[in-house]
Formats: sequence, structure tokens, C-alpha cells
Amino acid sequence: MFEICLSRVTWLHRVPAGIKLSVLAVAGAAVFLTDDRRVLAGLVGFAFSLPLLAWLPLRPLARQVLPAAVLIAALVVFHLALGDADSAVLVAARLSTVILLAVTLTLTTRASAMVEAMERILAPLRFVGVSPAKAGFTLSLAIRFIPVLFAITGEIREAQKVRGLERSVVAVALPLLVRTLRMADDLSEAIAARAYDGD
Amino acid sequence: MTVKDMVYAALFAAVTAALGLLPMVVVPMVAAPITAQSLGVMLAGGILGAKRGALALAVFTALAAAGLPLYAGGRGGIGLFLGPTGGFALGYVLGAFLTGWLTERMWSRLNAVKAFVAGVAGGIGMVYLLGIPWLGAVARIGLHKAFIGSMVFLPGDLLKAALAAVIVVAIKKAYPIIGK
Repeated sequence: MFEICLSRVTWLHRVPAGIKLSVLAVAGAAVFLTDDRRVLAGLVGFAFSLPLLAWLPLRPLARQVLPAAVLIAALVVFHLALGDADSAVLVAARLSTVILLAVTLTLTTRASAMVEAMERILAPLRFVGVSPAKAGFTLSLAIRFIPVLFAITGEIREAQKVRGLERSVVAVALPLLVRTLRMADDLSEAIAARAYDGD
Repeated sequence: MTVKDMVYAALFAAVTAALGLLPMVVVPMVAAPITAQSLGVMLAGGILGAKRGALALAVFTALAAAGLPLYAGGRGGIGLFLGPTGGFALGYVLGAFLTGWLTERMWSRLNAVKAFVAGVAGGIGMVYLLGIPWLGAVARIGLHKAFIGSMVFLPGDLLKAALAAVIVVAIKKAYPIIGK
């Protein structure tokens, strides 16, 4: 399965996803609610030391962090250019904390574990008619559809190549959508035929 | 939520994900790459309607938050929703709803122009409406500068809305889902 989570297991992988999500939620809220420099410094220190303490490899870490780092650097330069050092410090501290903690969570948590944790968090929604089991099923189905879409796109492009249309977006998109919508209908009927009621 | 709602939502979540995995178009003179991803918002709303379209983008968002590299450039993870671009991610879900709602309202007399308006309102209007103030607040750059910065994406998004309109109208003829 393609996912961002590292295959090499670190001790952070073994921490339950629910706990990691709670830490991220608390730290993420704190960093935006406080202006206190000491609290901010503590949170920044925590966010930077966590990936180091887990010995996360730098390359995948950098790949996830880099786009945000470029944006944060641009914002810092922007605020400094306007002479607003306070904003530069706040933005850099807040965003780097949140991004680093979130990337660390993502790199050390399997998507399946995250989905299970989200199912548990969303469990109260059962009372407004959202079934966690149905949500989990829909998520799995979407993941399964992605390689199917690429396979069908490949077939259609082959077919349209004969007509010299393989570079036309519409000539590929239309048959792709019609075929996959029809497939979705067949699949719905197949699921209904097996008396699936979602729970 | 019926089985059909779930399967359609899963399909368009996958379509939106696949659009993000396509190679990005790097336009000369423009710093940011233009990706096909927001096309998914307009297509999901325009083809599935409000409820199922929003559900599709919610499924996509949940998968990305869970740590699949579904956003353009192989990014993903919960950080995308906490950082400066979080509002755009939220805007995707509500944008698909708005595009779908407008498309349903105009369904019986839908043409490319109306489909374009629905796509622009949801896929651009709603996405920017949530994304720009969020960016301004989180990055402390203010509404005005966040707005100017986001205008880089407007030409590409208008092009996508036009493409989505053509596709939505054609799908309405070939394999309509709304109103079935």
C-alpha cells in the first residue's frame, strides 16, 4: 500500500494513534492560543526534538516538511521586511510546531490505525445517523478505486490513441467517468444483493 | 446513507485523489504549480449533487488526514489541515456541496454556462472564501495580502471550471446521476 507512514518501525510507531492525535490536538491548540514566549519555546523544542528522539530518517521527513518550510520562510521574510519581528517569531514558532508534530504523527502512524482512531473519535456521530462502520467501508472502497481508475485510464488512452485523441482531456475523461459510474452502479447492486446494511 | 451514496462518494474521492497524483502543470512566470485537484471538487458536485459530492470530498479529506499522500505533490497527513492551507481543504468539502446544490437547482435546464457558474461558485468562490481568511489569520499577513497571493491560482481554476462544465454537461447527457 502506498502511504506516507515509514515502513521501518520506530518506538513512536508503537504509541497508539489516539494518544498521538491527542498530543497533536493539545499542542496545536496551545501554540495558537498562547503568546507567552516561554510556552512557545517549550512547544517548539518539543516539536523539533520528537522526530530526533524517534530517529526518523531525514529524507522522508524533509520531503513532507519542505513545502511548508518554504512557505514559513517566505512569511518570516515578509514580516521582517515590514519590521514586524513579533509576527515573524509567532508565525515561525506556531507553524513549525504544528507542521513538525503533524508530519511526525503521519510518518509514524499507519493509515489503517489513523482510520481506526478517527472511527473512534467520530463514534458519537452515530446519534446523528453516521455509522462509523459505513464510514470505514467507504474509506476502504475509495482507496481500492484509485488503482482501478489508473488502470481504466490507461485502457481508454490506448483506445483513443487509435483515433489520435489520447491527449484530449475530454476524450479520455468522459469515457472514464461513464465507465466508472456504471461500475459504481454495478458494485452498489452487488453489495445490496449481499444484503449489506452497513453495520 | 445508502450503499449508493457510499459507492459514489468513494468513487469521486478516488477521482479527486487521482487528479492530485497527475503530473502538475508548471506554468512559466507563475511560481506555484497548478494542479488538477480542485477539478475533483467541481466534478463531484456537478455530477453527484450536493450531498454525495460533499460526502466524496469529505472521504478524500479524511483519507488525506489519515496519512495517504493524496494531495498534489505527494503530500498528505493531518498537518495540511492545521497549517496555513487548512481553510482551502475545508473549502473543498463545502465547495463540492455548493456546486452540487446549484447544479441540482439548474438541473432541468443545465447548459455549459450554468455548469460553469456552479463550478466557479463552489470550486473557486467557496474554496477561496474559507481558504483566504484562514491563510491571512494563520500566517498573520491579513486578508488583503492573502487575497492577492491566492490570485495566482485564479486563471488555472477558471480553466478547470470551464473543463468541468463541459464534462458535467456531457455526463448529464450520457449517464446522469442527479435526479435519477
